[in-house]
Amino acid sequence: MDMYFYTLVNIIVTIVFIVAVLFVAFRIFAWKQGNEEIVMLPKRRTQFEVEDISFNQVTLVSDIPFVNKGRQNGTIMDLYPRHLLPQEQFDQVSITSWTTDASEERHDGYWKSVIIEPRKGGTVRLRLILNAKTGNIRKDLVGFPDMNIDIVYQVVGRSDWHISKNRLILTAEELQHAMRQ
Amino acid sequence: MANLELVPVHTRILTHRDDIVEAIMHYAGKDIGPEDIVCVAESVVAITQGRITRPEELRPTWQARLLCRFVPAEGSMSSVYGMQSAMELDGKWKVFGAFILGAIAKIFRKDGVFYQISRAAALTDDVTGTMPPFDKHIVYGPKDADKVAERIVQRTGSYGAVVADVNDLKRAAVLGHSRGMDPKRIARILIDNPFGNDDQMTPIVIIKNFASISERK
Repeated sequence: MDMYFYTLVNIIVTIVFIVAVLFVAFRIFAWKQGNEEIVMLPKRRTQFEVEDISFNQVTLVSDIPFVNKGRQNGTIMDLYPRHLLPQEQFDQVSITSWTTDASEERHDGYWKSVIIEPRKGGTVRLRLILNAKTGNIRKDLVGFPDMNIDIVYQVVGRSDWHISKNRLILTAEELQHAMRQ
Repeated sequence: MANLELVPVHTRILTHRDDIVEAIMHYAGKDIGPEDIVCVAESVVAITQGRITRPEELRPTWQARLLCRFVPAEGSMSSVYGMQSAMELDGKWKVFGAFILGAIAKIFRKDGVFYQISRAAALTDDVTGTMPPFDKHIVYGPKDADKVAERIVQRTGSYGAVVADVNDLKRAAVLGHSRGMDPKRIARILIDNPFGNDDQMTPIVIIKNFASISERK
């Protein structure tokens, strides 16, 4: 009876050992293979420029490069801006922000899914439309503070989908400089 | 003397609220004759059948996480959700077994065994595979493609109909066809992808004068 018991234990231990070895081997393989790693490069973005201006509205544009630093293809399924200017801080303009792939511009705010190969990248074009609440945009922009803008994006690849965000800041000085151009 | 002519038909974006046969009648009915073959893109048939899902709706199993790592990056099965979506249809153990058999077959220089066994893996398009708004969806292959083709023939009075999978990489396959059609011959006719790219929105192609030209030959 003991003989059978020890044989059974040996078989179980062997199976567990083989499974453990295969698991570790796979983890090493997956680690070496890597994943996608798409990152925005807000520090390398272009300065905001005035693309269009009227008496009550101004459109600003900035190009933000991004790159896939990983070793696998990554798909940007969705990407959108989130400007953060609470009314408690500044309440003289209303703001609309939207993004598009600069290499395939759209004008509907829809981000078309795109595959980014390893070590390659692209450019996100960010537009801000500032509308004066009193009707005079130059007057209403006086006192405009630094404004944070998050670029939020959903990425999927060989690993689970995830949402990341990178922040850039439209500073008061940068806005003033753009308006003077 | 009539020549073989390929006529792409522009449509709006078709969704799960559309019936593909009625859509063909609406957009192409007046152009379809009794000597013509109606070809329709397989992804659009699948979309009208509601055979789509999103990565957010799937929970990848360890089998999907494991197998997707061994698929070349270009394939829809290389993403964990592409692989999982095939498992949702075919079953995770069937796909797992098919993959093992496919790997063994490759040792003996026989390609494509995995996709022959797991049809869901062969027909599924991962995200970005179709046009907006379905670019964020995984699109399965069409269901009952032969029956769809038969319905098209009955409704339009055409000589034949096929559901085809064609791309710009000179790959064309007929997934379903009405009675009497030669799928390999139709695939050869469609090899230059008359459906165009997604932005052209031409998921229907009429092969004009097919019957009379076939008789001449």
